[in-house]
Amino acid sequence: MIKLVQIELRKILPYKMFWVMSGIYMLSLIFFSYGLPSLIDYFTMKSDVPEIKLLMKFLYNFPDIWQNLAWAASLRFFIKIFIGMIMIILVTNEYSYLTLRHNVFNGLSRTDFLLSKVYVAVILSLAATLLIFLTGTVLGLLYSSTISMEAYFGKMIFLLGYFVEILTFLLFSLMIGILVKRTGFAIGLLFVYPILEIIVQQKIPESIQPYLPLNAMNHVIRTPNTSLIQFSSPEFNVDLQTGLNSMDIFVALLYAALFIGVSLWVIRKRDL
Amino acid sequence: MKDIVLSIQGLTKRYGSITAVNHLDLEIERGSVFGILGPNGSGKTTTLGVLLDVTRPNAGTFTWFGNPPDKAQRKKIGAILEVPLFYPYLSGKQNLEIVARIKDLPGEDIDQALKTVDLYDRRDSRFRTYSLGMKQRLALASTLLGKPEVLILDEPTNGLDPRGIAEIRNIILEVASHGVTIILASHILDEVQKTCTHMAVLEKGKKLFSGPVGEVLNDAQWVELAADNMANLQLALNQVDFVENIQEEGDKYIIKIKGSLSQAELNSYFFNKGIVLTHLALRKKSLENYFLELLDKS
Repeated sequence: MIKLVQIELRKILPYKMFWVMSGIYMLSLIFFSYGLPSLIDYFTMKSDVPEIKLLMKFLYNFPDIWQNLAWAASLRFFIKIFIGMIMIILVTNEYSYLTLRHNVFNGLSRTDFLLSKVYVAVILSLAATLLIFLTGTVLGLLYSSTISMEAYFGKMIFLLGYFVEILTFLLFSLMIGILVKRTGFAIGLLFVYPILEIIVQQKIPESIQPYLPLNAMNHVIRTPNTSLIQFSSPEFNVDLQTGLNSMDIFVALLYAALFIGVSLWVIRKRDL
Repeated sequence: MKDIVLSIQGLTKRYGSITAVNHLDLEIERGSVFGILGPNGSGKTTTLGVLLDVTRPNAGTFTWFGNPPDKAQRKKIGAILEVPLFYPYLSGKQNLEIVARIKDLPGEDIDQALKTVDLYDRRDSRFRTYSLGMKQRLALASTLLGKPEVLILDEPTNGLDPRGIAEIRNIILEVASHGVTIILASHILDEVQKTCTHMAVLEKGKKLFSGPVGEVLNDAQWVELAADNMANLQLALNQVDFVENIQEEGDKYIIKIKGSLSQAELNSYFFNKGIVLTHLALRKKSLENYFLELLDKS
């Protein structure tokens, strides 16, 4: 395992494109987190639903801040796409440079190769989670109305939820990269797939809708029932989340395993 | 006992309706320089791809060093397949470091390999800034890391200028002199003739011939003959049984001789018949002729 990680680091660390993309990802996550209050303000001002009452100043309160930031970072059409693109480029590069072949005939097995990319997905997920942890710590210490050890660690479990979700998403991106092989098409599919899933969703029974891949991932961290959005009216019946659900995590991890399985099957079967 | 490095049985690879490799059997002995000769599209690269686990065969088996193929065997093999395959944004040296890490080598000989192929001065330049010749040489350097037991070279001089070709050829001969088994795929007859000890000829995925290169060159020889009295010479030639083929070329006869007759034997034979040869020269048959003959037969 250490060997495969070392090899990947040798490929990735000197790669300028990787740092540019990571920079875009980090900056957009930080700015979005910081600008979230004003953004929501803007939308609620435009909204004519009186039931929605924002408690803006509590957004960065410990412990809810963890849930709020994790939710914002996991929106399917937004920031997450950048890190998915990084994952795809790191995989499809190996096809376009034909270095996948070179790696294999120099003595990596096909399984080794896939494993090394899975490790990359884990490392990127850890880094993304760490980024939210740091952003949350800084914003919380600056703006939280209550600062105590208990409040600080209160909902930190949502970082684990975020890790599971982003890891599943990156393994999904990895699978797309391996299936499609071409960088442009793979990234295109990453953008188009969420739309396709929404179309499919309209045509299937409601009971299985949450189990579509992206829905399942996103279900780990749902719209938070925190200070981010509070409903004064109880009859406003929306799926709001107060804590992590172990079943959601299990389903997401099942998908993660499936994505790895499909990738492995394809890479073992196909000519490289 | 023969020390077989590579043994292939019944290897077949199809791409749709096209059979790229067709029931190929092959054995390669340790220490030989084995040429796989064939025109473009004859299945050379596909075969090598299968041997390196890059291409999945439809049928057939092969063994490396007597063992079923796996990654441990491949670490003992240095290979170039078609084009140099490196990360363009990494330097030559960084690329070799990745290869060394994959092969579980300490990487101490990276500088030496770069010096061997004359790239040491450009070791820190990015791969994408290299010329085609430099890319080929870096690929060769990567195959030399860790003293491989087998070198696989697929068209190693493709696209190079004469000087580049000579350089690569010298490196190959140098490596071969240390007892490394070399498998060289090429469509250039001259290349195989000048570097190989054994060869196989492929055409449309089928093996037409395999054996020592010397055997190919010696199983029939062409001799140029001329005499003062050409008519007598022709008469004599028509009577002997060791001549397979006679062609007239200018003021000479070119004859193809069955079996092996030395020039001295030939000379005395005609002398005894009362014919004084004014010209007697052995024409080394080129692989090119042989290759065309083989293709005609099939």
